[in-house]
Amino acid sequence: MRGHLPVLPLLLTLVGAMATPIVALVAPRAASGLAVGAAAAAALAALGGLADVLVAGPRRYALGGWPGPWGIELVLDPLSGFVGVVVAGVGTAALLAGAGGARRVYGDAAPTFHALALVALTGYLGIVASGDLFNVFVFLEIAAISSYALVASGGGPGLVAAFRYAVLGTVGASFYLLGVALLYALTGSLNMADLAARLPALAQSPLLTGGAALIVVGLAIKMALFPLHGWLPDAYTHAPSPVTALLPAVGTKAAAYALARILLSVLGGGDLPLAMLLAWTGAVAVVVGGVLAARQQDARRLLAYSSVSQMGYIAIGLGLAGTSALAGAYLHMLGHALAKGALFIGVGALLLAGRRPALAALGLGPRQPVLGACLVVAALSMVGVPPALGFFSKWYLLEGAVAAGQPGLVGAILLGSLLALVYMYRLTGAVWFGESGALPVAATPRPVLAVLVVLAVATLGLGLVSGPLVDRILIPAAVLTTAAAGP
Amino acid sequence: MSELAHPAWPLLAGAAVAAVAPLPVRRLVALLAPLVALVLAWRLPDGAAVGGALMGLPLIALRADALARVFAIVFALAAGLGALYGLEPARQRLLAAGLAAAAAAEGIVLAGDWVTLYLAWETLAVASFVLVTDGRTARAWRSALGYLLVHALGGALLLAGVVWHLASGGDPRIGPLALDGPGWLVLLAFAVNAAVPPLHAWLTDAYPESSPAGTVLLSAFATKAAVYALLRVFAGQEVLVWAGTAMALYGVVYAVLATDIRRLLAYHIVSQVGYMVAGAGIGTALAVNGAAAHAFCHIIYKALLLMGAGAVVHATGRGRLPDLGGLAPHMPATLALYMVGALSISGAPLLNGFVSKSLVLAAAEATHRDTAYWLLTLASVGTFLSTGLKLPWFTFGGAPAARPAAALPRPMLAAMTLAAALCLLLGVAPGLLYALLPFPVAYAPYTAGHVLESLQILAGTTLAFLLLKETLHGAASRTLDVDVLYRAAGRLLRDGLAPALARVADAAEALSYALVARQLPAPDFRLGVPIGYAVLITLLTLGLTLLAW
Amino acid sequence: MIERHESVVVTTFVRVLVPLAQLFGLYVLVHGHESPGGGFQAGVILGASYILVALALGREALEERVNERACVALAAGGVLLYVATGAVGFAGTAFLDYAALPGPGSPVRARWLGILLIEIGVALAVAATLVLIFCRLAARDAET
Repeated sequence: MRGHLPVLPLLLTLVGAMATPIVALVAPRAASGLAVGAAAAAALAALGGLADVLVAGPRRYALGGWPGPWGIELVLDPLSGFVGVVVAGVGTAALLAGAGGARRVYGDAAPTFHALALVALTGYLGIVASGDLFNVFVFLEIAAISSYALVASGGGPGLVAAFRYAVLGTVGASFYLLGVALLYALTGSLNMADLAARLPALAQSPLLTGGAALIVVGLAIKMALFPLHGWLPDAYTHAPSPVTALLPAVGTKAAAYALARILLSVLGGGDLPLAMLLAWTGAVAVVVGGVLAARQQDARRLLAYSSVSQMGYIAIGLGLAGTSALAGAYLHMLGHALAKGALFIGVGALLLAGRRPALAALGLGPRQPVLGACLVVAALSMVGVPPALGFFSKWYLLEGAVAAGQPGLVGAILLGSLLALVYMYRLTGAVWFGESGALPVAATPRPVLAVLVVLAVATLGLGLVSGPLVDRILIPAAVLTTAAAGP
Repeated sequence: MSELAHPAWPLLAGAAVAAVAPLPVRRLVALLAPLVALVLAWRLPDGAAVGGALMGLPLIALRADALARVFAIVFALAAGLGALYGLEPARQRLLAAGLAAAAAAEGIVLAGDWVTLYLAWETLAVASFVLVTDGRTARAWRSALGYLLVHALGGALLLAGVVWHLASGGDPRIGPLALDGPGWLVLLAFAVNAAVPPLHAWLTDAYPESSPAGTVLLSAFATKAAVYALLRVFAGQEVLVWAGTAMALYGVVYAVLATDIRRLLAYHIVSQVGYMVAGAGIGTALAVNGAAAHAFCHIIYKALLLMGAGAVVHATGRGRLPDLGGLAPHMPATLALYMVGALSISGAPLLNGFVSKSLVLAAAEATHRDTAYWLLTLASVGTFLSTGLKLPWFTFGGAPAARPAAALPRPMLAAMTLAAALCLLLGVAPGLLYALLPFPVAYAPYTAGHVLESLQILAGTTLAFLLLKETLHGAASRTLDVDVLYRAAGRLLRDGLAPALARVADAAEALSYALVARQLPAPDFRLGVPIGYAVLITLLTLGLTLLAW
Repeated sequence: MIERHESVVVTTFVRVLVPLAQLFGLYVLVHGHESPGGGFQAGVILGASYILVALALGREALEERVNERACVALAAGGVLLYVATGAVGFAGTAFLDYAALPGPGSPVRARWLGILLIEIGVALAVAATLVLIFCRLAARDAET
């Protein structure tokens, strides 16, 4: 079974996704447990995969026994293992926290939510595992379509938001597909490693230029990189609480992984002006996202724009493409998934307890100290206060920016921190000291609190051990990403 | 030397316990933790303990020499004084944040490498922020946010400077820095914490808004840790002499104009720190000794002054001179102890200010910096005028305007007495202080010349005050200080830039609906970003990417 | 509410057509790797046959023949059949390596069997999903 670790996580979530509706027909209550169990099993498998990579080195897995470059390959290396653990782990936490909320929001249809969420996780895990460009597209679409359904599942403004998400997401996927098609026409191959070997010789071809640009823009849309982020604020504001626990934390990370893998490894884009454009776009995203987040009155919209800002950090790291910068970007994927997941879960719990999403009405004060404390820890990570994980990813990004001689990017990263301080202060201040109104307040359910505590502890704990984490996993991942991959 | 000997440990443990423990335990811990820290700081041997690594850089969490030790000792003392002062009512927030701030300050002065310094620096900012909120008013919270933002900015400058320094191959151990790119960033960061104008508004804005004990604790750490950092890293940089002199005068001018008693004293912090910054700039052994000695004494007598002012605020509920008066018969002990502090800060003989301030002045004189010498002396005049004459006259003397509501808690009086005793002790036996200083001291404070000069200044200022006192009795007014600029900038950002961005988005939406969606009815609810606009942007980006490839 | 079609020509024609369509769908399924066809196409044909029943003969006719819960089970079950068949490959070299299937002798025959099985799974899933979507839309239409 050890040899099959690359494919196990996505298989487990897929099986879970399909078993959940069947089980729900006979035992509806067990369905959510099954779903969370499947996600947890996938997370364990991902963890096993990462451990295996650290011990035995990267491996390629040929589906159907057909070796590349004709067969479809999956890749398990430090980067894909790491991002796989992030996606599966935080996804499990989100499902666990959202289970109770799903019962309240969807009633009898809750198993459908779980099934859709697992399908989305399958898509993300598939993106992370793929070693083949078209396979990435397939899983990109699997994840996207289930995401559209998830966002729409609450009705109301969520329907229109999901429609816009669908249009923009499909535009992005189509761009990506067109780009892949151009590359295929140029080289006759879809395998990432094969392309990485062949493309340098064809660097002047206009097909390559067009294909690369289309791929990058398509993935940037999926990643919600400013100014292509138009779908994100509405989708995350109007989706139901169980959905916002999952999608913001893991969705954009998978797309960012795909961008990192394809732009840097396959297309060898680390040295191009495009990389600097990406970094500067990220810098603008950081600042604009932060400014827009600071003036929001709706807590979820604030967090959504904050996501736009944080994805900018990742784009800066990917664009700089140095070892430190990439390590910082990858670490930021983990940090942001943990912190944003905790924030959305916490705010979602408050909404389900009867609060309104407006900042002025969000207060629960000292009545729910654990919830409040976990939100503060997540906020510290977003701002980048040590020892939370966010500080360390910021440090590595700064190191990368300084090493590349880009004071403007340094300034953008630090300005982003200050802006994050402003909007996180507003949010946590509203939760701790805001108006709680005359409504009685339901207690936060135990599983939600447990998940929040785990996420908060992970944010602090992983920050403290971030040194070994970076040295043993992320630096090798960064080096591998930019090295030319052999056939 | 074991890392366990770090004085920050008992303070951190104390902070953790104080945050959650019941009242009697809190009281015990509040007094015990600083005491243990003081013993540890006193007994620190010279040397460094390397422990662990972070991000590939070695962490030297404990590096002690005479300069670090003198600051470590006085921080522990200050923590004890502040905790004693706040022992009644021993609020969790006050004690936990105060002890944590002390621990962070210890961390800063004993840090041997840049990463540890940065981590402790940020911790101090957060702990101080919490201390400001101990005022528990809406104004306190607003000032606290301003405090946090400014210190976050300073922290960002420090981070940028440190990362740049390390990335360009700089020594990870703390040592003198040249004024190149990273050096300027670090210097600016230190300047923010040292409250060098125009970066000082956080201090004068936030310190008066905290609770009485909170202000005492706040005053001890942030600025003096920055002074230590300047002494360690930028000693001898000429720009600091002028910055310090300007600070000393700036603070005094605004203090003379101030009407809130704690704000008046806060401006004095700016002024006195100016002496220390100037000393750091002069950089000779005498100057460094002077700056360190001045920091030591300043922490003690400033705590005493703020304790006195805080006692007035606590007893009467008011803090502004126009609302106060005639308290002398009701609070005689407070008046007496306050005057000890006031005379100390003014450099009166037999008190500790005399033995420390004169060191800096002597250093200026010895290096022939006559302008600086006279300007600093002028600042002394203003100091005595506002702290020693104006404040007590209009608070304790004059027509009665306020009556104390209740007797002062015993711990407050005890803390003030202890501080006053320390001022006196160090004043009559300066050798005790001089033994702690980094360089051997060949200076004798009690010469006829020095004593006469000091008495002349005091007498002259008293005369001037008696002649001008009606003019100085401030009406209700607010002096304009640079925080006006900060608020304007913040307003510009919030109310200008963000809505401007939103208006751009709205205009694009209208345009796109006109171009793209004319046939479709607009949706019922306005969502954030319209589709047509988004698709247009996407195509533009595609073009740009094609060009950039 | 979908009524039975008024015209007798339509209803009779559909009654004759539907079994033939389903037979053709099965043919397309089995011959998928030798001629145009395969699981998706077969599934669509099979699903469409049920939808045709509803459109021509009315909703009750569909409800007699189709159990929504069974559709859900079949839709999920089809994918599970796919995964199960692929999982046999764990005994071999990789997921989806049908050569490891027991039974027919040579690896080529084993792969043929494997692809057939997954296509069956796909067809079940697609057909059931189409019918399910139609039923849900029709039910919503009936409510309004």
